[in-house]
Amino acid sequence: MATLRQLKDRVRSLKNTQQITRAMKMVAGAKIRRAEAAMRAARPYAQAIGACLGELAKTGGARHPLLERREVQSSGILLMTADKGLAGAFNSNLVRAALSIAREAQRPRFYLVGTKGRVQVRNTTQVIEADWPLQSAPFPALAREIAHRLSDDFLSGKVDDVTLVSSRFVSTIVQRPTPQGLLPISATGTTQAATDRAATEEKPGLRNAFEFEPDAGAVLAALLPKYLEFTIYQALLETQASEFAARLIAMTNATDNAGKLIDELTLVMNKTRQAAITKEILEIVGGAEALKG
Amino acid sequence: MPARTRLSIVTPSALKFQGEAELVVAPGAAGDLGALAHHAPMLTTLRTGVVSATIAAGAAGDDQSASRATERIQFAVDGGFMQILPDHVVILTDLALSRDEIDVEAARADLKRAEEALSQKKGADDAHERRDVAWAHARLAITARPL
Repeated sequence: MATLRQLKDRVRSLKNTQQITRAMKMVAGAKIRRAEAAMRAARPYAQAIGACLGELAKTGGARHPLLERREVQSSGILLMTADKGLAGAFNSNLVRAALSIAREAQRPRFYLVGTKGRVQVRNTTQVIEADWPLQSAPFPALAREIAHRLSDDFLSGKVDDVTLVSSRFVSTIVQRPTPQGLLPISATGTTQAATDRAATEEKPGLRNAFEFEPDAGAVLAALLPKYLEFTIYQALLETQASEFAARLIAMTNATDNAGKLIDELTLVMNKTRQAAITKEILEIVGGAEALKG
Repeated sequence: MPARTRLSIVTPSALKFQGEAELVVAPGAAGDLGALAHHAPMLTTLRTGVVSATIAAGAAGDDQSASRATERIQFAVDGGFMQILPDHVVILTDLALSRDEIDVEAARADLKRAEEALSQKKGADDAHERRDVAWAHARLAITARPL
């Protein structure tokens, strides 16, 4: 059995740990609110750009290199993870989802956002084309850089499609690694923006013959890169919000567990101390009895 | 009172403006264009420049106040798109700044820097520099004179 001193040391160290986890929990909680607000702020833009793209898709002959489906010889995978751990299985879940897609893909090439993903994917035999830390730049700039790189590689034929694996922020409790097709862009839209559009914008009769200025092709050529950039921007926001949520949960659990251990050890410590006192009293009483004798 | 159309100016990071407008003037790809209510459906790209709108005076978006008084709002926009529907105008742009959000000194400095960069390029692939100049001009244009 541990001595009183050892027990005291363990409890003290646990209390320190608990203080740290509690602080991290509160930081994550505060950051979630900001990240959620940023996600909400992006929604009107998502609806509007989805509506524009839908309008162009309706005109039929929408043709653009970024829309072109071709035989897949090499698949790009854009994986978004966090820069830091201590968020439960958040990063590993994302990496696992991406690797399982890579197993079924033709010659997968990885594009990585987030330091944690890079560390984990580097330990496999996968080909890494590029990587960016999640916090390397403000999100709009980072999204632009990633979008440029991806469309360059797509247009040059280095990759024939790109799948995005990022975390969808369902709620503070649930974050789900979600794959979604990024390139070629599907003009009819499988993405959230397009479904939002369908839900909010169907007003028959109002919108038949759209005019385009300068012309449909030029508008499309300007719109598609923006759409790609914005989809990546939105995914960055959601992945970050998810990271904070996952950390909040992980740190809440850690704080609770530390509390439980502290309670248990304190009990053992008190019992040990009491046992020592009892033993001493018995010895004294025993001694006194013997002297009387 | 002229009919009004709903105007939304959205950027990825915020809904910058939403309200009823009588007239919206924006720098379209083929020249500035104005949109009144009941405009034919249209989708256009925007140049970097100034979007201005005539809206009902008082609280933005308050269509109850049937007063004839109007006021003008202006935003410097950095390219983007405009979708016009008979009852709704949506302006999509990366950046939209109102008068209050613009740092005049910074815009002046940007203009100087951008013009220098442009003059050094001497015509070869200077789209980026031209955009920077236009963006600085747009910001200065809406801060320079009173509405």
